[in-house]
Amino acid sequence: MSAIAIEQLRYRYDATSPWALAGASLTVEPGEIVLLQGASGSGKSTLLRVLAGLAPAFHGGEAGGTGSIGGRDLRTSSPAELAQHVGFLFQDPETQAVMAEPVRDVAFSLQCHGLPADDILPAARAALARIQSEHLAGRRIDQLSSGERQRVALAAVLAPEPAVLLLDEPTAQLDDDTACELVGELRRLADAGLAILIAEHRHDRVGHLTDRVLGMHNGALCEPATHPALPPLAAAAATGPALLQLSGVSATRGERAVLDGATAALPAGGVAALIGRNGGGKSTLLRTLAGLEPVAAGRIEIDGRDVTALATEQRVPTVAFVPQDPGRHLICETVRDEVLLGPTLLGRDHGPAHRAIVELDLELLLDRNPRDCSVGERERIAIAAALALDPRVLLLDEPTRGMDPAHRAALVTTIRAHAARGGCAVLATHDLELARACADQRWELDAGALTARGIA
Amino acid sequence: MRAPLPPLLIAIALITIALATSQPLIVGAAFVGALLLHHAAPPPHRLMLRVALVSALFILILNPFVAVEGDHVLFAGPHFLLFDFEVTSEELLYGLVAGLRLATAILATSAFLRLADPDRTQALASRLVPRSALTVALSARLAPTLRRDATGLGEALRLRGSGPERGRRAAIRQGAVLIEPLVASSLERGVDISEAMVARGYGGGTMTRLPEPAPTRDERIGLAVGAIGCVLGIALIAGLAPYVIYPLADPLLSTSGLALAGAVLLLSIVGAGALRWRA
Repeated sequence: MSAIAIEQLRYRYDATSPWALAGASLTVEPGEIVLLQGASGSGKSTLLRVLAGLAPAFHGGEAGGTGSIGGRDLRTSSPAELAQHVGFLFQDPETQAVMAEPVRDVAFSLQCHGLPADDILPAARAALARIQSEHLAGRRIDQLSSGERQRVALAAVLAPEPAVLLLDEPTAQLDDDTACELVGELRRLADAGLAILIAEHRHDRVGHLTDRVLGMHNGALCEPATHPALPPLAAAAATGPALLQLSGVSATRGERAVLDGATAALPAGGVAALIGRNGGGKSTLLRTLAGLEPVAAGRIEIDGRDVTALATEQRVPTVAFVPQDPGRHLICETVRDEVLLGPTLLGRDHGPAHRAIVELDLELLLDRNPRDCSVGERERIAIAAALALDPRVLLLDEPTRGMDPAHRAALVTTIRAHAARGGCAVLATHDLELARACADQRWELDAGALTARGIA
Repeated sequence: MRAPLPPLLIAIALITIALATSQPLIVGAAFVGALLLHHAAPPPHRLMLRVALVSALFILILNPFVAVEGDHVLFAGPHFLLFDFEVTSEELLYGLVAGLRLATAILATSAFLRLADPDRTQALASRLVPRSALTVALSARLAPTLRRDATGLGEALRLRGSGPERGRRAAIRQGAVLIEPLVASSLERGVDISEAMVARGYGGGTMTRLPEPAPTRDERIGLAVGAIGCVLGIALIAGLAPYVIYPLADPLLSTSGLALAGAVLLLSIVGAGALRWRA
């Protein structure tokens, strides 16, 4: 019996909206890994939600067609019943922690599966260890980085050993080593009989271990589109006096020291890729540069001016920062207002905002509520809102989250154009292809120590 | 963080006592108890304290102008539309009692949410409503989510160049701008968490209860104080120490009123002391 079998599956979020799934048919056999690819908003996440029984049961809306997963009929099984056989990893690791501590969060999945009480905590710890995250067990989830949260979420999904796994961008927040280990683990699970359906933009990370690749376009399954890899940066490294200079910068997060005497310089026209393991302090460094975290020691200079003691709002618009979870920073009711908010508040020209809207392909979204947009679309909105301030120093934390290959390529062009206008940018990213395509410096952060070097 | 039951019982006891009687001394004691519990909880303290005091003051000021009761006239003014400008001492007393009740409820609830371990609160809530993920997610997670989202939105404004406004009016205006996105974002988070709970199998009916750690000595004291307080609240509902404000207020200083107010204060001091948060 197929692990997943759907026939002409249709779904829309309400009776007046277009079909988000428009007659999808698919079978996945036990032991098979199938990769789903498609542009943002093409229906990948919706398909996974329907297969997990969350749509329409949780979201409402209208569904049609037939389907079964793990031997259960999608039309007659509740999401909780399906969850006994199906593990579902959501796209956004910020929103799926149910408990405040990692061990308890993983244990929650096992509790819901009715495991004997005495077995739960050891099994939860073992699930964390399986993805090299046992060191996170005693921490609080709200103090973890996004990558660390994603590891916890993965452990929670894997712990009950489901028969079918539905994974929505499982490697988006993971560093290369962890992503590689995860993909290897998924292959081992599939070889043991698990069926796995993955929606993932990063074909380079999971493609080699999948059995089949399917494309998705306008809610229908199709042949996957091919996207060329991002070409490496051809331009020579920027030189000249430092636009952004860090001298011995130290910072703490809570009571933990996460930056220890970071020193680096970035000239106008330069782009630095900030690389490091999950939880290594990349976000803290960017937040410190933006003035959102205090500097414990050292100095930050922009264009020769010491800004160490300046508050965030005093660094704006010279510095613009897009944090890791832009969905938490949405203020306005339309995309247009969201992008224009900064220049409007500061009484500045709207020209850079309109340019960013075009560069990041947001024209068709302008009248939508940003909360109705996908993770990748929200990311583009946040970047456009930052560029609308026409900053000199652009700080981006994991800017390709949820972004499809076409928009990822557009982002490279946008960042390079910003650098060409005399600005500089620092991007914290696990996407090494993106780093090679647009950065001329590589800042490596390891155990709080920053090493800056050119990209070879 | 504490087991949820002791602070929950104490908070329920204080709110019940405040609502069960109109005797101002007892209601005042419950308010002081809520204040002590609020300060026993982890920071931040100031925001909810301000909300509680401003709400109480608002009711105290408004009541004489909307109520038309009481025999001791302090100021005789006209009646204009919905407002009655005749102020009686009973209207002021009632406004004071009603304001203190509201402040007690705000402070006690806020203290409970910050004292109780959210994971164990969630486990407790899931025992009460085992099939409703949304209810559990909202009840256990709304306050921390609101706090986190408020920080995120504040940062978002600062990143657009709008710093904390100077002056009370400007700060209120700035805060008002953020209320709508804050509520929308917190509800969205609540729904996200409940969806994640359902996707993990919550509500399927086979949930295992993890063994609760044995209560500490302080938690046992908290439980005892909360239980005694709840009994006291029920006794007040049943008619212990009756007190009327309208049309003519009973004497404020009665033996039973003083004794019960003293008992509430004593219980609050012991309870808040036992549950006091230590960094």
